[in-house]
Formats: sequence, structure tokens, C-alpha cells
Amino acid sequence: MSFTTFRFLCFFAAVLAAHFALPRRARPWMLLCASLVFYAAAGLPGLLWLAGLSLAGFLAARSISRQQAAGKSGRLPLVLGVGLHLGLLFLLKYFNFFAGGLLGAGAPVLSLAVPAGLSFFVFMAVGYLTDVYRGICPAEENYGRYLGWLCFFPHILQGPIDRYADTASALFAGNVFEERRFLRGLWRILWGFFQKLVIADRLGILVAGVWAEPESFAGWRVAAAVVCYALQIYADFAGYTDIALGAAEIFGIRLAENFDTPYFSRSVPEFWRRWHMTLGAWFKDYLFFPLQRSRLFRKFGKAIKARFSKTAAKNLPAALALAAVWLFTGLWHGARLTYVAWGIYYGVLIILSMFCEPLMARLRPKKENALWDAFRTVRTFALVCLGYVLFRSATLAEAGVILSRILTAPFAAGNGFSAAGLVRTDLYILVPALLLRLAVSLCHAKGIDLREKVMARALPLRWGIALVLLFSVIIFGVYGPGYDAASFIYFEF
Amino acid sequence: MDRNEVYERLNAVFREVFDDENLTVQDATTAADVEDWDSLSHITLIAAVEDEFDISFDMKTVVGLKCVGDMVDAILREL
Repeated sequence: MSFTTFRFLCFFAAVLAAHFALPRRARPWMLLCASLVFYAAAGLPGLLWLAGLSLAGFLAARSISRQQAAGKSGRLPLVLGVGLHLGLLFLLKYFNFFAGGLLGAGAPVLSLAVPAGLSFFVFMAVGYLTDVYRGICPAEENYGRYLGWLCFFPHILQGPIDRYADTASALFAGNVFEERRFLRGLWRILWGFFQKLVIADRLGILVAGVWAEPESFAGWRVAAAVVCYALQIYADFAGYTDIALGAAEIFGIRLAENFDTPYFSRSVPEFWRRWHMTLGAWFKDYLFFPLQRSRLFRKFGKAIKARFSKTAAKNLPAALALAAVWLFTGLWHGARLTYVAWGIYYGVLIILSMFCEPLMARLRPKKENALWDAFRTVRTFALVCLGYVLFRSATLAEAGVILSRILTAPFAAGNGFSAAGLVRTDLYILVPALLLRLAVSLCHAKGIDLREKVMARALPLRWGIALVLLFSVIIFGVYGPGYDAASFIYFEF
Repeated sequence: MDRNEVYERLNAVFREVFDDENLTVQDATTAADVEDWDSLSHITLIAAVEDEFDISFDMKTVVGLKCVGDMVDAILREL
């Protein structure tokens, strides 16, 4: 059930009413039932996979806990639990990709549907098992509570990739209704809808039109479409996240933030600390750190130090760990060569920036310099856009056509944007909407909590803002035939 | 070893890892306050602290450190 459907709005209103009408003790269980209904709407086979995997995860965590209480390490149930989750993810999502790549046309084909949100809830479950093993959180003793956390409807389909230790207690508290929380959540939900339906889906028309026939547009228009895709994917994913976080906030549950004005970043590593933050944090805590701290990597570092230098001993193991992280980050997004290439692209950029850091430190102005910072921000955005050419394209050949059109025919004669399906009225809506989005980002970057500011105002203004947002979404959103408002970009991951 | 002695040695480690002779850290110092303190340098810092104090942090400590105060607590626990 996508957030941008009338069915979801009815579902959410019913869950909200039922949640606050029930006694506090019953509320978490009502949320569990609602989440299962929400997930079942994406397909019953998916629900069966979820039930089976969550039971396995629950039992593995209990076994880790029991073994550790008996003085053992608990490593075996951890390995089995994590292996089962990742093995199933591989089987359902990547088997055909790898089998086809290795064996060619004669490869066996597995025709099992991938459960919705599989990559997200598998990562949450693996994080939970690892945290239990590390002693960061206790193993949950009640299967219903574990399932209730894992399948909580705001985060199961597209994240954020939550940590059990951060959200479980609030989820089971059965929080009371608060006008302040309700309004803050509602504004965030409406702002999410605004970003998705007014900005992302409108930009999506232009992007899809140009990507379908790049050779019929001048290179600069293709480049503009790449920039539009950067804005589209941000509005789409941040919009989804705002709806998810706003919905959870109304129930008194704080989910993890996923974005921190990423396009203001001054370097690629910084961009990845501010974009899809829960995925980056997951790879850092559950892959990068364990690899770097492993006996093998430490031995490797010591050997490098003995033969070469301290700097090489620091950088080479880090480069290897980063290569693994970025290969898996690319693959996590899907079984497609362009995602793998996109992951490698970022791996190379980040490893290069690590090796070039001493040189960059010399070139960098000693004092703060706004011009230099602006240059770095624009350069980072350009590099991110270049990555999006791979990310948006279905094949490497398609990405090649997009790039070649930009580079070889920047001012060739060709169609206008109207041929891509974007009419003048769309521009009149898009430009102010994007400026509003920019203003909100600037406030966020300056540490201004806009919702707190509005909350301090009189009651009619507080509700008035919600109404203005609601009507803006209804009037300016993209709903016409031919546009699939139901699909979020990150839904396919 | 008391907290002050730990800080004396810890500040020297921070200065070397982040190549900043003027750097001084306190309980409330976080990664956001120190330029270049990212996940890459975090691992280097952890290894340097372990070498300096001849201790070994577990993964719970490595991923759970929120500020320098947490690090000092962890060092004192391990000593």
C-alpha cells in the first residue's frame, strides 16, 4: 500500500482513530495488526516471508542471549541468523542476476516475487541481531513485540533503516494523544506529500521524457534533465521519509532522520553522511567498522606499516574496506549493472578523496572562504549528478548515450522540454515549489526548526498552515492519467 | 590513572591523529567539533588510543561512542 493512495489515507485515519480510542496497553498490538494489514496489501507471499524471517530472527537473537548468559560467545546463532537473512535476500533479489551473469542464457531462473521492502527489513533485522550480539540491546522476549517493531508500517517499505534500541521502547509505550505531536506530525506528512506529488512527480515527467529519447534533445537539455533527476529523487525519497517520520511522530515514535540537506555538502564523503543517513550508518557500523577491526585487516595494516609507512598502513586497509562497502551499497539498490557501476563510482571517488586529502589540505585556504566553499558545493553536486546518470539508467549503454549527448552535442538542435511532456503551467508550479523547498533546506541548514516556530503561533495559524499545505497538494499535485503517483523511486529497492 | 591523566595522554593522541597541535578535547567534544573526524579517522583514532593505553575496545564501545567523555569512561573501564 503506497503512501500516495487514497486507500492509505483511509487506512491511516482508521489506525489513528483506533489507536487513541483503545486502552494504552492494547495500542502496540493494534499497531502490529495494522502494520500486518498494511504489509499484506503488498502481497500475501511477502507476508509469509516476513513472518518466517522475523521468527528466525527472533529465535536467533534469543539464542545469542542465552548462549552469552551461559558464558559462550553467541557467535554461532549470530552467524546462522545473519546468514539466513542475507542468504534469503541474495536468493530472492540477486540469484537470477548472478546466475545469468555467470552462466549466460542457459542459467536457471528463479521465479519468486521479491517481498516489498525486503532490503530494508533484512538490514534492520541484521542490525538487531548484531546489536544483541554486541550487547547494545537485549534480545526481545516477545515475538509479537519484535514483529511489531520490524513491520511497523511507516518504516517497513522504504526505511528509515531503524535500530531496535532506538525505537522499540517508544513503539510499545502506547503513547497518549498530544495536539503538539499531532500537528508536528501532520505538517511533516503534508510536507512529504507536497515534495512527492508537487515536485518529484512533476520533475519526473521531464526526466522520463528526456531519458526515453535523449538523442532528440540538445546536450544542455539532457544535462538539465540530469539535474532535475537529482532534485526529483531527493524530493521523492525525502518526501517519503517525511511522511514516514510524520506518521510515526503522531503515535509518539521518533524514527531516525535520513537526510540533512545533502546537496549543500562540500565533499562526496560529506554528501554520504547527509544522504540516506540510516543506510550509510548501517554500512559503517555493520560492515566498515567490523572489517577494519578484523584480525585480517589489522595484520594487513601492520604488514604495510613495517614495509611502507604509517600513512599507507592507515589508508590501504581503509581503501579495501571502502571498496567492499561501496560495492555492496551499489548492489543493495538492486541487481543491475548500473547500480554496481554507480557503487564503484562512489567507491573510487571516496577512496581518491582519502588519498588526495593531504594535497587538498595544502590547496585549501587557511581561513574560511565563502567562495571556496561555494565552489566545493557546486563541484560535489556535479559529481553527484554524474553518478545519477548511472543510477537512473537501466543499462550502461543508456548511461553512455546520456553522457555522450551531453558531451558531444551540447547545443545541437532538438526538441524543447514540452516534447518531454512538461508544459508551461508545470514550470509556473515547479519554480516556486522548488524555491520553497530551497528555503526550507536553508532554514534547516541554519538550525531553524520551522515547525517549532509555527507551533509558537496562535491556534488558527497552526491549523491554517496544515490546510494551506493540504490544499497545495490537492490543487498542485500531479494526478493525471499517465503519471503513476503510487510508485516511489526507493520502493523498488 | 585518573581522568586528568587520561586527558593529558588522550589530547596528545588527538593532536597526532588529526595533525593539529592546538587541538584540545573535553568531555562534551563530539565528532562534529573536530574537523576531519569521520568514520575513516574514527578507526585510526580508536587504534591509536588502544596503542597509547595498551587496551582493546569491543565493538559495542567502538560504535557507541557519542563524545570524548564516553571515550574517557571506556578507557578508565578498560585500564
